Amino acid sequence: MTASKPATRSKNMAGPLLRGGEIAVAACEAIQEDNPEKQVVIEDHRTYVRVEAEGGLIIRRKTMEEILGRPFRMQELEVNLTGFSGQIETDENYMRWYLKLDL
Amino acid sequence: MRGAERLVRTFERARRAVFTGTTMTTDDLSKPLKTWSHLVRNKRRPTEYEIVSTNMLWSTDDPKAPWAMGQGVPMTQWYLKYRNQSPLKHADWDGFRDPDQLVYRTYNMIQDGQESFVDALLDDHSRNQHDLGLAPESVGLLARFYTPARFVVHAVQMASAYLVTMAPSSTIENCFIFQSADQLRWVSRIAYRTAELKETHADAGFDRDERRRWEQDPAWQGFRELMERTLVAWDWAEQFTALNLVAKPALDEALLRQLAKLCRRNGDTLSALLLDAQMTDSARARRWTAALVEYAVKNTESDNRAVMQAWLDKWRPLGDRAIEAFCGALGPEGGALADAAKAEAAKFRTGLGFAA
Amino acid sequence: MALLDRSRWYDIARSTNWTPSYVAESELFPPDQSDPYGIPTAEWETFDEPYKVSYREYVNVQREKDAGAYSVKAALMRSQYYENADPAYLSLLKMHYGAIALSEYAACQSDARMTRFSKAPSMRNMATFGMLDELRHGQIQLYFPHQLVTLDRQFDWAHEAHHTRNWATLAGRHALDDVMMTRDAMTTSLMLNFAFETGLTNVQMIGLSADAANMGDFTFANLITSIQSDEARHAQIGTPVIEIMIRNGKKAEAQQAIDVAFWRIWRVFALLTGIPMDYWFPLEKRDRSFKEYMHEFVITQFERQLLDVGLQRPWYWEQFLDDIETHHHCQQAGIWSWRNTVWWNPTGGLGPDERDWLEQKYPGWNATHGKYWDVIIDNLRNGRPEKTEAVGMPAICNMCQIPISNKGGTQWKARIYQREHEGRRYNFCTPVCRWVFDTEPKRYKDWNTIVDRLYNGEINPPTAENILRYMGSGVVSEGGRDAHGYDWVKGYDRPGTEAAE
Repeated sequence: MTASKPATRSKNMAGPLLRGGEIAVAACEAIQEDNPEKQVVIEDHRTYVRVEAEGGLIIRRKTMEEILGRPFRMQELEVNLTGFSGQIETDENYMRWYLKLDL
Repeated sequence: MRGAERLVRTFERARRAVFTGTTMTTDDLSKPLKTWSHLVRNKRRPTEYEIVSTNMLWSTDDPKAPWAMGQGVPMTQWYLKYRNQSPLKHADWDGFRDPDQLVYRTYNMIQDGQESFVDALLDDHSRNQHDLGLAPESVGLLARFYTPARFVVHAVQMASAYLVTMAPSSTIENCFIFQSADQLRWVSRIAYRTAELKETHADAGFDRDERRRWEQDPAWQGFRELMERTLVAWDWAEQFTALNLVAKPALDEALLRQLAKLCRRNGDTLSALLLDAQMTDSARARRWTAALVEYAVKNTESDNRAVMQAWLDKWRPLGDRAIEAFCGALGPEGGALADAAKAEAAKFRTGLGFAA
Repeated sequence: MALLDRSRWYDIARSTNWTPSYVAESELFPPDQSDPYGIPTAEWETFDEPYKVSYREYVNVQREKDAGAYSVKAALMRSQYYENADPAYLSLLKMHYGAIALSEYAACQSDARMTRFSKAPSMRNMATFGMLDELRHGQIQLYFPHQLVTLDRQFDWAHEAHHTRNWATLAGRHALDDVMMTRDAMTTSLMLNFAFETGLTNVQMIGLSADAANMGDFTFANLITSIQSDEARHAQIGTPVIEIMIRNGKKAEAQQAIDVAFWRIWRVFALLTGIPMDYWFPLEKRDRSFKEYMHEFVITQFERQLLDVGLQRPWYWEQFLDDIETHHHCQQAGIWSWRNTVWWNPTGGLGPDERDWLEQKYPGWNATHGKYWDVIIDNLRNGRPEKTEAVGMPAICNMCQIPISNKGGTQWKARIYQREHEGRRYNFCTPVCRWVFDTEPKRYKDWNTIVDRLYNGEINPPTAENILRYMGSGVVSEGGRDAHGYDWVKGYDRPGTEAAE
């Protein structure tokens, strides 16, 4: 897991807060893959990992399935999704964190 | 009064004494406890159910002030009127126990298993193209009597939730929580079937006519009247009586049992099995309903049996009319089906010592 | 064909409104219980929950969550962890469970009110899951501390706290009864789902987990982040409520509900979370300061969410930022001084190194709050511990039910904000608590603080012993004492570490 931190935090960061576990590790990887155009910031706080990017992030079911090598239901992410910044949108095939306003 | 109940009351007095600041004999506080102090006098190891389910409402501690807000706040008046001053009285509602001893953890385990079973049913029948093989009269039956049921089941979900807000003890409240959740389960499964049936029988009105049927079809008007009136029977014990002793048994018998019987006869095994599975949840609700009635009428100075009987006399005709309208529309033998359903619903009540 | 995707049938399951005809709609949904804002039903029917779940998914996922939480607990129990734990850490658990277990259970009724009385069918379904979630939180947070009563009787408060008239309980109850037990379904959602659950629970349930893990208590760390995964979902009920209210010209009403609730819960949570984070954890186990967590979860994350849904910062934001620097420090000093009133053993926890840490995290701490502790430390070092126990009762705020206090030292600026209403004088800790009173005096005017009860004869005779009894101290368990038997002052015996002046 890579960790990087920008000098000043943008006002438009959004993304999941994940509790540790196999799913969380896979989710971090999937998020990097599903958001190639974004600079994903991962902060590890031991019991939770804050994963964010300017304007938000998306995670796709099929990417999780590829990484885990098994069928994955988006709802399974909830076990590890202890919180999030921004707003959320849920679908069977993806989960998305976003912001409506650009500040 | 049996020993255990006497001890419960002794504890209740002791707890109120703490609450009101009056003197009570305290135990040696330096000694650790084996369980919660309020369960210590049970003389046996408490179950997981007792540890996590008992005496959890603070709004019943002071009978005059449910909430730490002014008396003029509407919600305070609501609780005083419809819960604390209910004609159904008991000195110790906290003493009630769910016979199934269900807790959140076990509820999910049981229902996850039940839902896996339903998934398997749906999957199998879908693979076998079950819906394509349905006779036209079966499709008509489902469109008129099954898929519109999401409304009545949702109304039961709402009424059960009201009783969650108004239950006089946590052990009673929890039963209503599971009952409300069970209804959402079936609202969801009926919605699922509605969508699925629409795929194979696009012209039968699935996902189009349900609300109209619920609001206008004579078959449903008895249940709609029963549920609308139940939902505004604000006294908690009256709504419990109307819901769990009249409306739910009527639905169990008319929708789950008689409709299932017809489906099975028509070769619609999937609907019959789904209705049976729904009955499994209802059977659990009946077990604690019976236990709560038994608890309410025993060990109390108030004549609770007479109070509940008066409510039953008022609500039973509505329940019977709902059954008659629904079963009566099921076909030529509707009258007989209605009689059977009414008799079974009455049997649940007479089994509890009521006059039907 | 196999099983249908959720999206194929989900909308049907949340299309359950009908037009009643045997009773009037206004009777089915009385405004005091349902929607006092008069927003048309068709508008509520547009409610679209951003975080969706089906019953089938729910029971499966929740079963998995519980399996995880209970198995971590079972593993740790074998290690005798709690038998050997730092007594101040145990105090955190006593305070947490006493404050939280029955409160979460109470929220079952708040969610159930939405399930029954919301005019938005989607919201009724989501609140049904919320109701189940809160049952989980009530039950699991009784189950986990239950075995600890065999270790220490103060853990009995996990169940008993809310049945007593302890001042801390009254503060919690007054806030919770206000924001989640006595409001209509829609206002409850704004106050509970958005202001409380989206706004403030993260600091307790996620922030605290990092410190707990540092202490080696993986049971608790895992438990609270697991609980928060439920909250993150059902808290989302509030967002569409806000959107619908704004669209229907009720933005000011929504804003006021958020502002009232956020402040009320903040005043209580600062004690619950702030004090342990900044004073009770051993220095080397502290992840960050309470203020830093507040910045991460509230000032950055929540404020941004608030703006994004179309609302503003509460009008008192500057006062709130100031309160983050002040409130919990004052209450740490107060609670420690009145330690025999509470059900946990607070530690002073202020050796020289801890003071340096506080000064670094909260510049000016030594010159303000530190002055109060200078006197305490002096008394303890000179064999006068009895002088560190407060006698008498402080002034209590008629809104938050917490002692009125402010920074000590040369910058002392404690003052009481008053309001005369119908011939009675009310005292408030801040202009914000007074403003809350002004929003609805009828709701608040009858309530008596614990100090009011001394003067009106409810606590009679008003002796120290009787006051403690009234609060359940010495009844449910022994009252609090310094968790470390004042060991923390020994740090000042080291050369060159004399307390300032």
